[in-house]
Amino acid sequence: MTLTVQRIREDVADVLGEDPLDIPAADDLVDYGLDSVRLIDLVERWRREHGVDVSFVDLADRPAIDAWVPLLGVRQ
Amino acid sequence: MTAAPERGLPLTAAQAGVWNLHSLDPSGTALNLAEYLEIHGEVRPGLLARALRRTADDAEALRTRIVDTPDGPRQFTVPLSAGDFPLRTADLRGEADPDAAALAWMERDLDRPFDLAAGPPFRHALLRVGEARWLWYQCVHHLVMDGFGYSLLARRTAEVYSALAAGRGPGPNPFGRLADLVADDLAYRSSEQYGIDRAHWIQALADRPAAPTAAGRYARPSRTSLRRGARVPDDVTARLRALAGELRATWAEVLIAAQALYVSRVTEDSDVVLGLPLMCRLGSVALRVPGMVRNILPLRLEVTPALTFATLTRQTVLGLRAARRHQRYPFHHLRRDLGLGDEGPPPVGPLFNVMPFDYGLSFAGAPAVPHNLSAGPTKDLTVHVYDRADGRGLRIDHDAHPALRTGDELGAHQEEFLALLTRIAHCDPHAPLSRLGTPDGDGSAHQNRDGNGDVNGDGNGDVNRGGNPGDIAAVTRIGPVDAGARRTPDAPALVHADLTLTYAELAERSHRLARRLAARGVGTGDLVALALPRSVPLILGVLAVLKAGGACLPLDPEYPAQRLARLLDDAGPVCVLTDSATAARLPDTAHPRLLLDATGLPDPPSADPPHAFAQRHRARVIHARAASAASGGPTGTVVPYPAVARPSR
Repeated sequence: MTLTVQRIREDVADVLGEDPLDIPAADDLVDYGLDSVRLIDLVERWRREHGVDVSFVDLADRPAIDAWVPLLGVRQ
Repeated sequence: MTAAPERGLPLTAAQAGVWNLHSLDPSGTALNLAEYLEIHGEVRPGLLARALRRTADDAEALRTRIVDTPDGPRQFTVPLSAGDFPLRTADLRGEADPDAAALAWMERDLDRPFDLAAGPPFRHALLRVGEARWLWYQCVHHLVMDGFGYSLLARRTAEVYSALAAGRGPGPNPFGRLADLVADDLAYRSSEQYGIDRAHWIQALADRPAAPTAAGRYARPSRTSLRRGARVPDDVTARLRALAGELRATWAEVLIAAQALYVSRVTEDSDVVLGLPLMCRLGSVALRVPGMVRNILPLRLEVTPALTFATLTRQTVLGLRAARRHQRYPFHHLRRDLGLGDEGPPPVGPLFNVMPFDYGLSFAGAPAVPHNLSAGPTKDLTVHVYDRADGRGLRIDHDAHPALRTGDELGAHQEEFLALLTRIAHCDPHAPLSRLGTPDGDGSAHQNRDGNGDVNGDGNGDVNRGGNPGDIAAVTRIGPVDAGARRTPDAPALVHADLTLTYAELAERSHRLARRLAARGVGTGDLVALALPRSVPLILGVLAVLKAGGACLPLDPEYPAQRLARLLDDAGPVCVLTDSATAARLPDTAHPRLLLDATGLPDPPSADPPHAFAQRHRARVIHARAASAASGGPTGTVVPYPAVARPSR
């Protein structure tokens, strides 16, 4: 199953325990409770469910949905 | 730009904190960090040497010299000398127990200080312990490295080694510059955010600058030579992860909540301040810089028995989220703000360090398993949790300051914590915490065995510390005393003026008095008024009432007689425990009196099941406290068990 922007937002909201509508695409996710354990969870989830090979450091560089979309190989 | 190269760079705030600790450590080894990777397969020593050298060339922090100057310490990045690279190799296959020999060698190496001004601040060893098993040991000074930085170094080393083994080049240097780290730190410290963060933390902790430690004491940094390691069983780990999912938390937050519950029980205090080392690198230039960045954040939680594990976990999640918004404020600046300095008591209780990083490294196909040897000093007790993502349970190391604990005590702390995790794993997270139970037995394994040693020496304390704040199972006040009586019967338990009671005497006298109370009809939940001098007799009285299963109503004989009479009428105690001198000042009521100093009363037979009393009323309400209401009339406040200890101490 291909990863979509909507799916990224839903997965992020899921690990943060928030509603997807409450997660702005451009905002720093650390302000919404993202931490290293949740980020590792996302990296593993996307590797497992979508075969996306992305590293923790790549995503941690700029923790925001906007910044992740190209790294995760999603076409908008 | 930061300073010119010849003047070197200042230390970051995080480094300055380590520098302060380092300067307090006479051995110079407390801040030596070390891990080793157990490599399963063939290792080519010459190739690993080249990979290590390349990694050190890439990582500026490994090539710094740190020099104390009149302007404070400064760091200089220098090239490594061409000759002696600090790598030792040894083949230990001839030893009777190669692994034990390797560990002993590493422990000895950890006890060697670094010459930081001369550099380099790291050492390696490659020890062969089997035909296809090698241990790569890396020791780095905390001044230049933290746990995450360590993982960056290990990853790069494996990457370079694998590339060289395949005949490829190692690729470009993936690391950021130390100068960028320093510049970022200076920018933060002159930013508006720094002031906002400072105000946040002062406000969060100003009413409680020093947190109780698990040992009840603290000490100067020392190399953590005292460690107990364990695995959380696979099924418990799996259940805790599932529980985390149900509670919309991470496994790490569930463990932090468990630690908060544990600490509140050990310190008998609902106001818990944990210290959480955090990597502080998400979204930062520090992400790609192997160096010393990590900060310690206080997490203050209110742990009352009426909470459920679910609500405690929620409190943890939200508390962490709020803390992270201010995560850069340097811990040693906070110590200074709170007036604690570098040598004062810590503003946080035990540290709880979560390391979620799965190295998952391979050296040209040979998998490597990491083992931590030294994760830095502890002022009291530090718990490290590793998720090695190896399909097995979480790994937990308990570290203690060697001057504050014995190995047995440390082992007992770890066993209790693991037992608590197991109970949590199988609990109903929506039931009150009090139902999470306490360990069986009396907690006798958990007393401080080292008597009255106050390392930083405030030298006072009427009540021997040997029985109190370090206890784990001490949800009652009785357990510590009776346990102390069994283990150190002749140690002083109470000292007041020229009267000293040993543990044995205190246990025996309180037991005898409890039986007299029981003979008067005092049973579970019954109220006993106490009108006794605020010294040994009152403590004895309280213990006896608790042993009998009763609840205490302390009376202040200085109160007007009319008021005391009203109090007694309202509360209706089964009896009044007093002594002849105080009794003369009490109003004349119909309540039966039991005089502590009465002689000639036959004691009930003392067929003594030692814990029949202590076990009876765990977690019941045992304390009624008279408080004056606005009307001027006294009101009774019922205080549940675990909350009792602190206010009356």
